Amino acid sequence: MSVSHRFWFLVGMVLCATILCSAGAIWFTSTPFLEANQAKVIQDQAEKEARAFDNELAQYQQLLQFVAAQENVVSVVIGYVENADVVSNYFETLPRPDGLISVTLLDALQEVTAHATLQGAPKEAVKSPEWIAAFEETIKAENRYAPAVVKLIQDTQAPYLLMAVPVFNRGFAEGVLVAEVDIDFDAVFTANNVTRRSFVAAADPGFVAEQEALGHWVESVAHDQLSLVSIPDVEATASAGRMLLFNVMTAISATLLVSFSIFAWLGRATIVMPHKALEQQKEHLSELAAVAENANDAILVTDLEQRIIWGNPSFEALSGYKISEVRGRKPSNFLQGADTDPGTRAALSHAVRARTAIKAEILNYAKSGTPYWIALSITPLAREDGQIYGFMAISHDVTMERQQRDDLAAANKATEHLARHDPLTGLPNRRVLNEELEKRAKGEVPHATLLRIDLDHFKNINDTMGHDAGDYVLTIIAKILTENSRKTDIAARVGGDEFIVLMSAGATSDQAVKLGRRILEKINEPHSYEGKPLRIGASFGVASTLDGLIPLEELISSADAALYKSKESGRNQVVHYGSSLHDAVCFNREISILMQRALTEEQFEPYFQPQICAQSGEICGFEALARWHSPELGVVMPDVFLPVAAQMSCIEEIDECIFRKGMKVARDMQRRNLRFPKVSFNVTAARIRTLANDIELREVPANGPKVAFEILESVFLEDQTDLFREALNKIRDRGYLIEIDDFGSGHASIVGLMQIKPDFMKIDRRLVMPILKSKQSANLLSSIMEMGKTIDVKIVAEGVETEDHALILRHLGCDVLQGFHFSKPLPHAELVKFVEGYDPRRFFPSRQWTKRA
Amino acid sequence: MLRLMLMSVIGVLGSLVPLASPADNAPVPPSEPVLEVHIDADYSIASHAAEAIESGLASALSETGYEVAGTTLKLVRRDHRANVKRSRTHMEDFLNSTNAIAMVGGMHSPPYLTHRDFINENDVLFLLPWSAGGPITRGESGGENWLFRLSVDDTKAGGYLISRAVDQAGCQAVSLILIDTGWGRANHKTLTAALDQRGMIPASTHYFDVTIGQATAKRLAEDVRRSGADCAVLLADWDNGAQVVNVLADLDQPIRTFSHWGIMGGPFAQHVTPDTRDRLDLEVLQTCGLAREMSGNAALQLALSHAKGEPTELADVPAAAGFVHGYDLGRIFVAAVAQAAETPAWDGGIGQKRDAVRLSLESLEAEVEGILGSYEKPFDAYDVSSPDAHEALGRSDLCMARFAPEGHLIHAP
Repeated sequence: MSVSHRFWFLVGMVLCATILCSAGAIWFTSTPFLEANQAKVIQDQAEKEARAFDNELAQYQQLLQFVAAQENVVSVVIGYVENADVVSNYFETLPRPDGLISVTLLDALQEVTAHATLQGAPKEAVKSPEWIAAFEETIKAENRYAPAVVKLIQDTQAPYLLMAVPVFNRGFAEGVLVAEVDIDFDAVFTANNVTRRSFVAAADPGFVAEQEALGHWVESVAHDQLSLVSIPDVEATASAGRMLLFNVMTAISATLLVSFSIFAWLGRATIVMPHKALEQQKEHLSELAAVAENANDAILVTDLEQRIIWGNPSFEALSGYKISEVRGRKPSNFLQGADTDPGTRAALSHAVRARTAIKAEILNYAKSGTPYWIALSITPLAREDGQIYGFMAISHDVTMERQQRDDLAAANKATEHLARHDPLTGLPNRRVLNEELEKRAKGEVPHATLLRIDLDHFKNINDTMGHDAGDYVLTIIAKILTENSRKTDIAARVGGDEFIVLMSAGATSDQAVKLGRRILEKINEPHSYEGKPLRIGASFGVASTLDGLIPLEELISSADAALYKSKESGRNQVVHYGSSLHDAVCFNREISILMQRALTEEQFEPYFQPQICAQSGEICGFEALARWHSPELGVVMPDVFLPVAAQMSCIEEIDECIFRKGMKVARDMQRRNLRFPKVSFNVTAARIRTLANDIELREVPANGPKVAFEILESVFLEDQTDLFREALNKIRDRGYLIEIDDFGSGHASIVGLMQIKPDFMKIDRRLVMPILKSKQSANLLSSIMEMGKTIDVKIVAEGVETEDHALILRHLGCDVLQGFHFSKPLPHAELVKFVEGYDPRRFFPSRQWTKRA
Repeated sequence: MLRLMLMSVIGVLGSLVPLASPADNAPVPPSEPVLEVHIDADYSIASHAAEAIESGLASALSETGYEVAGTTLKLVRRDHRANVKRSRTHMEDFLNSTNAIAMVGGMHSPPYLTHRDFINENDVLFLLPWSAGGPITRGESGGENWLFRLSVDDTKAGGYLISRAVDQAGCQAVSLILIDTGWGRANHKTLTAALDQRGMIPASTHYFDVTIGQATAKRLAEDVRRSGADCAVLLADWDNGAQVVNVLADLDQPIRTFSHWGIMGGPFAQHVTPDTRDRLDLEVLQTCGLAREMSGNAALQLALSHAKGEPTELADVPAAAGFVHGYDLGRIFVAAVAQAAETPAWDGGIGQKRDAVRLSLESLEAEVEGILGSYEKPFDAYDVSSPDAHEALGRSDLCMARFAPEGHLIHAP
């Protein structure tokens, strides 16, 4: 039988027993009560009937007293007035009870003064002994409200009542009003289930005693003048008692049923269900015990003092201890040893004292003395009421895992180091530097000072001595940086030959400049590689937010600007990003902003500097030079805007603009029929490649001026690829000429020159200008001229400042002259005037020229 | 001469005999024959009147030591409680008695109006010191008249009251407020006749029962107001009279009220405040005892000196009219008994004695000095042609009185 079935069976049994016991108890205890109640019910009924009878009488009494108090009735009684109808006058007009048979007014002498028959045939008043007795009792009344005298007349036909009230004259009873009253006893004593019959009798003590002896209930009525006898219906009241008992038992049974239902429902919830849950729990615990017994994890259960109570076979296998030999001992006393981390031991100890759960890895020692790592989880064991009674320690061997993890951590650390350091020099890389700068930016004082270092001509070392030498140089630099900077400084390698030293927080730009110079001194000291001397130079740019010029995020770019300035100013020096440099940078920045609009609005205009044929003195071409017509800045020269344009990578756009506008001028000159034989445009190597691929680049018309593109000599140094040469050829195929600009300033190789085969070579002005004073220069130019002729390339000399220059160059065999001696670069309008008014004699006065028609 | 002698005898005896005792406690020498005088009066409701009558009688009898011609006179109280029928019983008791010589009536007229014929037919010697009903002393033609009155006679009282109200007080409209008894109804005739003589009719006439209640009284007063009367004539006993007077005084317009003396049978003044009395300008019919007192009266002083409680003036005696009339009638009775005792009939039975006294009253030889004056032949043999033969007093004996603030009556000129 299940718990549930046992429970319901017991509840049912107890319910039945309770109902039976209740019934017995109620029967036993209520019987006297019912008997008393039965008597009480009979008494109540008798009293009720008595009250009903008295109430019935009261209405007659009140009516009689009312009439007796009437003034004319009194007048009749005391003889002031004779009126035999005075009674009937009242009773025949007033509403009266049905039982009134007759009313008679007697005076003080018992004489009938007035009489009225109200029921049946009229009849005279007959003074019987009862009448006389009633009169004599009534006339003694002390006041008119005294209770009426009532007599029961046992007539042969039916009993009736005689009721008498006094007639008072100013405080004295002077007569009696007597009424015969036929009470309808059936109406007064209504049928009920308590009494069988009730009747009225004279108030005779002997009769009363006799009736009471018969078990009848006797009540005094009519102010003790009569007795009301109630004969109880014993069987009916007993039956009512039994019915009451039955009803009570039914109600109690119903109540018990409801109560037991509630009890059963609650009991099911509080006893059966928990019991079931307990059984399930027990089953579950058994399963858990089996699981624990067979678990791979080592499990120990201890008491609150951490003494072992129970352990599973896995523990024995892991530790080498038998449970039987360690039961009652503290695990910490025999499992932990010399190398066990004291911090972990303290943490475990603290958690146990605090009765909190803890997880830890800890080094244990097996019985054999072999150390092993375990992942340990200690959990307090609590009873249902929350009371903690012990601990459970679950552990498993993590020695292998731990070893792997350590290895992995070491690998990660190495990777991390690699990711953050330059493998060659061991210096932190840009990432470390950026992190530090970000940290500074988030700090309370977002300031930093740094030193940017770029080796001068490092490429040469690589090129000339090989990369190993370059690496060696870089290593030396790193060493110098490390040795000369403080430990709190961060010296990082941020590019091939670029380094940055981020000074410690608070360091000023002065300190950085000093550090830079110290480092530069060390760098400049003689070094050697594989016995070969090495000369190393470096440029330094110093910038600091503490100077109040720049925010932290512009620090590197500002240092870069200073470095650039250093390079520009001759390298191998330390340049501080001060206010003047800052102004220049700001100016460039402003220019760059204006330039973006200038490009959109095509504010760049071509200026044309004439090129004069040295032999004929005639105009043989123009070089189109870019000028920026800025609404804000006026006419800006290329040396100002080109560096900015280079930084913005928009030189090509400017070139394209100048080319387009220059060609437009050329067409205008042609239309004007003015001499405009050739026009040259400066282009970059990139522009060459773009033009070569520009399918819209039209061929140079045969009837128009020649068009040439000037390419810097340095371009050939940097970009002598086949691709570039192919591009040049494509352009040349469309009729364009190629000129080498600033020849002599670079290191163009003759071979390269031969491969390109330019149409013109423009000699750098720095070679031209000294020829008046330097024989050597003149000889050099002469050689160049010779070379030009040899390879069939025309020579253009720039920087022709004076007539002497012109004469000498012509003499030396130069083909074309260009310079301020002839004209500065001219805008379109002035160009027109220049050509229109051109006379070679103005520029070669010492020679006779034939003006061309 | 005889009168003087009698007076002197009476005076001597009065000085020798102690104060009169109450009637039922009067000392009676056992050796002498005793004749009873039954006082048929209302000792319960209108006890003041009954007591005053008895006091007046006792005072008169005490002057002879309750003894006349060797016969002791004893006063016997018979309380009829204003019940006419009980009074009849007393009469029958009287007739059954062998030593009851006379009956003295109380203030109520109804018993004697009702039983007048019985009295006359059965020879009940009746002395009436208060009851005023006119027909009482005027029996059927041809019969004997056994009722002798020394009191106000309503045949005259009505005329006197109307005369006082209309002729003296100048009333324009007179309402009649009458107790609904034979007495009241009898007075109605005389009052209306008196008004008729003046060319007037009653502004209204109101009868009330002997036990008038508050509500009935208020309705009555309202009816009087609506009638437009400025004066009222009131016939009532003391308690009903007090009830009526109190509601009349509540009217917005006060009604001057002239009352018959029926209201003096009880503590009327205690139930009607001086303000109420003044508001109604209440006057009460009296015989002229008060006027006599004012003018100095030796007989009164003598009577008072024998009276119970030794009053010094009439104001000390409640219902003084009863005392005065009782005393005066007592002295006349004593004189009549004395005169009868001289006749042979006095030796006969009680019936003969009563008749001897009756005849002596109708032919009294002695002049009797009373409070209200000297009585010379106060009564005569009765005949319908001499309706006042059994009346000791006449209209000239009537006066009006008013209430002093303290409640006693004072003469109203």
